[in-house]
Amino acid sequence: MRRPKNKVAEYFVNIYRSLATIAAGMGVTIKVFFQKPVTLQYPDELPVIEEAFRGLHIYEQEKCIACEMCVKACPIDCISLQYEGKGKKARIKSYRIDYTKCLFCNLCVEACPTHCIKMGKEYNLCSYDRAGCVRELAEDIYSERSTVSE
Amino acid sequence: MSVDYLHTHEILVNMGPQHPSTHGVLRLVVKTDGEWVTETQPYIGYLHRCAEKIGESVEYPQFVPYTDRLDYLGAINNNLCYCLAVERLAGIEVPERATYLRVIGAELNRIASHLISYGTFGMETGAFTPFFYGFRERETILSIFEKWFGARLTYHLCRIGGVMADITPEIAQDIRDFIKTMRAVWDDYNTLLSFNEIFVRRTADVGVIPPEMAIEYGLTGPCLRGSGVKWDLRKNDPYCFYDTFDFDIPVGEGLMGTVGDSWDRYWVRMREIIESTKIIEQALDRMPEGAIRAKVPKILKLPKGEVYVRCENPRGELGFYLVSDGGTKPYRLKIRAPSFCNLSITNAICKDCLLADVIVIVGSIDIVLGEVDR
Ligand code: SF4
Ligand code: SF4
Repeated sequence: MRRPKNKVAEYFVNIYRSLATIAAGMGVTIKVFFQKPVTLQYPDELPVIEEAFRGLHIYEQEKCIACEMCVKACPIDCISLQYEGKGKKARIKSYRIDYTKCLFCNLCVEACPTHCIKMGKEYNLCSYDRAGCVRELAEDIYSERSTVSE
Repeated sequence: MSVDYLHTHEILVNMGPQHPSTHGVLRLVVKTDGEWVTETQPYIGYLHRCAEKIGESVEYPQFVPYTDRLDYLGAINNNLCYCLAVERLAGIEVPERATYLRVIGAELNRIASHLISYGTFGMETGAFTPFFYGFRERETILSIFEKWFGARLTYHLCRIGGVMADITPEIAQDIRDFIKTMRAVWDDYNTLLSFNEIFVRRTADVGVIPPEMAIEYGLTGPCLRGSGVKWDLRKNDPYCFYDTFDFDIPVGEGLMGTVGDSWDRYWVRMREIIESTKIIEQALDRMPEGAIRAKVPKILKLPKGEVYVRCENPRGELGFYLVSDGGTKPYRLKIRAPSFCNLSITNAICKDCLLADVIVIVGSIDIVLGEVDR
């Protein structure tokens, strides 16, 4: 950009340019002022979660054949699976995912042959303590003393 | 102007590691003589997560989500580079549609990254408004990503042999709409910040990197191109059909001051946004139907050998050096991070400048600390 050589002229040109460009910027602000706001007043308004969203897992226990493919696919070993028997007759005792470690990478979902683990839309991951971040997804429907945590 | 007669005791000023103007946890130890800076030494390592070691201890497909966390603003570009490295060594042929999808993802991600850089660079020079504008458009990109493959920051879009999800016509339309909006608001952006006189005076002629110096320090990306060197891996070492796309490589021209000053680096990024929209449009038009993932064995074993693959990520040349011993895990993985190399020039250009300029200069290099420390 060309700048005037004369010191005095430069002083005034500077002031003029600053004011002019600020006014132009202000014009943009005013233009946007009359547009619809794009922000969402969370938590009063909740965001729309897309179908494809990769949130907390959804597990369908009846379909699971305890093949441990998901456990092996997980990069960070955050799935812990306890079961009795294999295949269709498998009894799943617990299926835990440690959400302090989970990367939400979808690799477990892609590895599962029976499509019984999916990633859902739930995005509220907070909990009051570390233990709360480990979620139990299976219901221990077989043993008498059920140790299902909420 | 000589400042000899104003000589006082030098003071050490510690900037960071938690400082709003350092992008992440960067510590700068600045030696000042009054307002004048005589030395700036960056101290890094606060975000070190052993990414390379993790890469050596997990299987090839399992490391892809970790690459998201290197440069978290350009995650798809990182995914892409790692996948390309593995695919080249394994000899996996990627379907054409998948490659185009990768390009679309990578370029959208580049725009998102440059928008953040736009916002934060404005903040560093004292303009708060651009930040919101940058984030408004970035939000649109993130919504598209969420609709496409379900994540907003740690994308994990590229998989070895293809991409995770296909785009529907609806998403393609969303992307086209976004491109239209982006081109329209780009002028607003420039009115707001690029040509604002105060901003220009803060950035022009500040932190000048001459082209020879840029090459000597191994700068890449917008920092190198800002110095007037036309070097873009998308054209110079093409991958993913980039050589067939029609787009320009913006370089610094010294429009507001000297070639290679902070304003030039900033302006290169701004113009790259427009170039990226061109690439996306062409990719959307040309994309053939077909599969989005090649058949990759469940247990992927790479042949013995080594490979170095580099990609142009929003910040420069990202390289993955893989050494395989024939197993399911790499024997050695080395990541060449552009931010790390770009940061090395800090001390050379943050000399004999004002303290406030240090923030502008470091901002104009546009580093992501996740990538510097890895
Ligand atoms: S999403 Fe990834 S990290 Fe989380 S449980 Fe599944 S495989 Fe493991
Ligand atoms: S991969 Fe699927 S079927 Fe196999 S154990 Fe995991 S959830 Fe169950």
